[in-house]
Amino acid sequence: MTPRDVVAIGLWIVVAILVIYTIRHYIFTLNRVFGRHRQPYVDIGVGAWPQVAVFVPCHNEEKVIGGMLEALLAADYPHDQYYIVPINDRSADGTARIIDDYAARYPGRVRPYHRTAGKPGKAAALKDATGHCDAPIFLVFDADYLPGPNLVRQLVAPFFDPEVGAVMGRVVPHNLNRSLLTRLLDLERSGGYQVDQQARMNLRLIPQYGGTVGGVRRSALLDAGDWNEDSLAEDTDITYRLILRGWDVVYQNRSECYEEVPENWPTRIRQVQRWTRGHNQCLKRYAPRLLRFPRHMRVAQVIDGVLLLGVFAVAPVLIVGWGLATALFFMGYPVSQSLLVLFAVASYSTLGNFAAFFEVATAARLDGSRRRIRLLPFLSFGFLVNLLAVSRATISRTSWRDPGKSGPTWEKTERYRAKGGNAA
Amino acid sequence: MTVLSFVGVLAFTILWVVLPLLPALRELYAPSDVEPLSMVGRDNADIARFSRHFRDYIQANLKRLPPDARSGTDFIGKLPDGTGIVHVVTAAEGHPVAELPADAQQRIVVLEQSAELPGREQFQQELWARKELAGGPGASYRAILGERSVSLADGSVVLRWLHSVGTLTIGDRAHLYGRCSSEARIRLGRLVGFDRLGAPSIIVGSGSEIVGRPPVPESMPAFERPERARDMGDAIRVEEDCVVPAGVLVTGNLVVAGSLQIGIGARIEGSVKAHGEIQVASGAVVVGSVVSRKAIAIGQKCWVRGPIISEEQLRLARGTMIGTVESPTTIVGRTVALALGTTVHGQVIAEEGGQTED
Repeated sequence: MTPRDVVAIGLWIVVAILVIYTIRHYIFTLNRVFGRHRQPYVDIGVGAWPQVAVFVPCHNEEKVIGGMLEALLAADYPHDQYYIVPINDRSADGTARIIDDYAARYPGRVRPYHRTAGKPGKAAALKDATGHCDAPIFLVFDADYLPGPNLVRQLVAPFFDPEVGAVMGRVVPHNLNRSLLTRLLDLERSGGYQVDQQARMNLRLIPQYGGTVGGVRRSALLDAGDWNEDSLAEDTDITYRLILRGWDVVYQNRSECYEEVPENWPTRIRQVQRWTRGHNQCLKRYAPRLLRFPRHMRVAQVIDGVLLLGVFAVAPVLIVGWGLATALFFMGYPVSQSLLVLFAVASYSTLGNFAAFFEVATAARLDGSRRRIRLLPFLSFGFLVNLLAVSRATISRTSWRDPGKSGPTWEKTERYRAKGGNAA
Repeated sequence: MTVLSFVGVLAFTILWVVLPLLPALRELYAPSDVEPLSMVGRDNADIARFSRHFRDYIQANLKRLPPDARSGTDFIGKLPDGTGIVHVVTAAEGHPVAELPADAQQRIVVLEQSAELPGREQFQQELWARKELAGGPGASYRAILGERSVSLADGSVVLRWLHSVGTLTIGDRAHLYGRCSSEARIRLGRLVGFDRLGAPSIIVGSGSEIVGRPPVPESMPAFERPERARDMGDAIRVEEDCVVPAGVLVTGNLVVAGSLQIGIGARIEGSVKAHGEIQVASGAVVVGSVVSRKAIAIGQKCWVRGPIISEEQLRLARGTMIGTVESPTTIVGRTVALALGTTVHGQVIAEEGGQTED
């Protein structure tokens, strides 16, 4: 076997991986176009609602925490059945003062939890708060989110199903008029939630608990081993541990919540790299366990689970593929033209939620937003930036090793709302 | 090749490349769609929201009518937004409103007095009854808001929504498309089709068939867990079909990977979920919810306190009671069949339609 043959085999392997992801995305998209929309819990409007603790992890969130608490206090959930736990983890700004002010004004309904010691980071903060709350259901929101009045009830409804361990709602950007990036992220979110997550829900695969607008059942969380405070992506981590224990994870497309998306590219790149490191950690931890094909899981679930874990690892694979194809060209190797065409098409339909243009276009149409779809060609730029950022994060050693004793730190996305703002 | 032809080819090539980007560039520099998606806060489960919106709309528009149209006499004309309206103020109590103008059925109809309609009408706009309303047989309505009791005779059809502040009575073979709700109770006749129902009490039939909750026995043998079962948090998970024997007590939640049969008079002090079908035999009690990815059949004289969620057919047999007046709940199925004597406290959602049985 010549070096040229080795390179050619490498290219075939790359193309095979990309084609698998492309097929996955097309299955999801076609399911959303032609398949049955599965949302069994969305119509539950009345019931004996359980007690709920709503966690809002905070680290220097003075710009947004007031708006978040106002929105949660306005929820139409029975007031004696839910309380809000802002988890202040060593904020150095005015977050603690704002939270304490709300606690004084709404005694019993806002119950702050101030952390001054222990490992930093969202997962560690959630773990500490979990130990102090005995409500059977925990909802978790990021501090910059703006839930509607019905959202608490909508997110709790699936927990009437005793098999449901976690629920994820849909994230909708509300600052999309700020830059081209925010508009591209809006399209990307549509593709990721309206098509990707909902298709996984329809097909009974593995919808992902995303950690920013969702909830977990306390008994399921403890059964799966509690929040993993060493994880850089505690949401993906708990998703897989719940699934491996036999719990169901549910996505509710109609449970929408506004969020702030990054308004500049450096912030976006840091965000994507953080997700990459967390996701790759989970790939390393849970792919081997999935590939043992647990008896309670269907084969399709296992395959989807592994592919979902691998979405961030595909970026460097794609770059390697480009390198191999170029090398073969200069080596004078007669690469099959059909292989190259397949490679080119698959390249743009591969990267997780990022570059699946067919998914994004379908999502925009399902959302009824026909004009913003015109921006689709610009997703190519976002695709390239993501490709490089994700690849860089993937090949870094920190992407694959567990954090040290101190655990992860708070890695936050920049907030843009005016201080004390209450935008809705 | 001359310089001119080179420049021409270059310009044409650039134009050719840029052409598909023109809509994108236009949207970038002259944004026409930069508002956040206006979906946050939607609530599909709020069954009476259309009627509330209509009440707000009609009250606001009636106030904006000119003074002579609000002088306490009948009015036929248009609302300020151009919608046609018939405002019947002076009809005698209980008098059949036979003298409605010929084109009343194309307008919004507001009835200030209680009224009986003769039947066979086809109302193409909403009907707002400020007092009791009794519809005649075979009538078709776009939507009805009744501020007191509403009674629709046999064969009536409601196309979009129906809300009654008082008791709502529906005759045999009627069809209620869309949302149907009452703040008091709904009584459904035989072979009534429906999509969404909501009321403190929804009763199928005359009510004489209602049997109430089964009694709680003083002692019951405990459920023996099957071989292929394991603890999963606060639930028992069974990786095969499961049968709960008659008269047995199950404490806690039960999740079954196959089908589930609950025997006569068994009692579940928790919730049950099955990936396959669920059959609940007569007289059984489930204190929590009943959830299945397939069909659910609830036997005669059962009581389920929590929600019932079926992703296929849901059938409630005679004398079954769901929820309580103090603790209403929701039942959901792709299709729903309700036998005579069934009582549901809360909401009934049939994604592809439901029907009461003969």
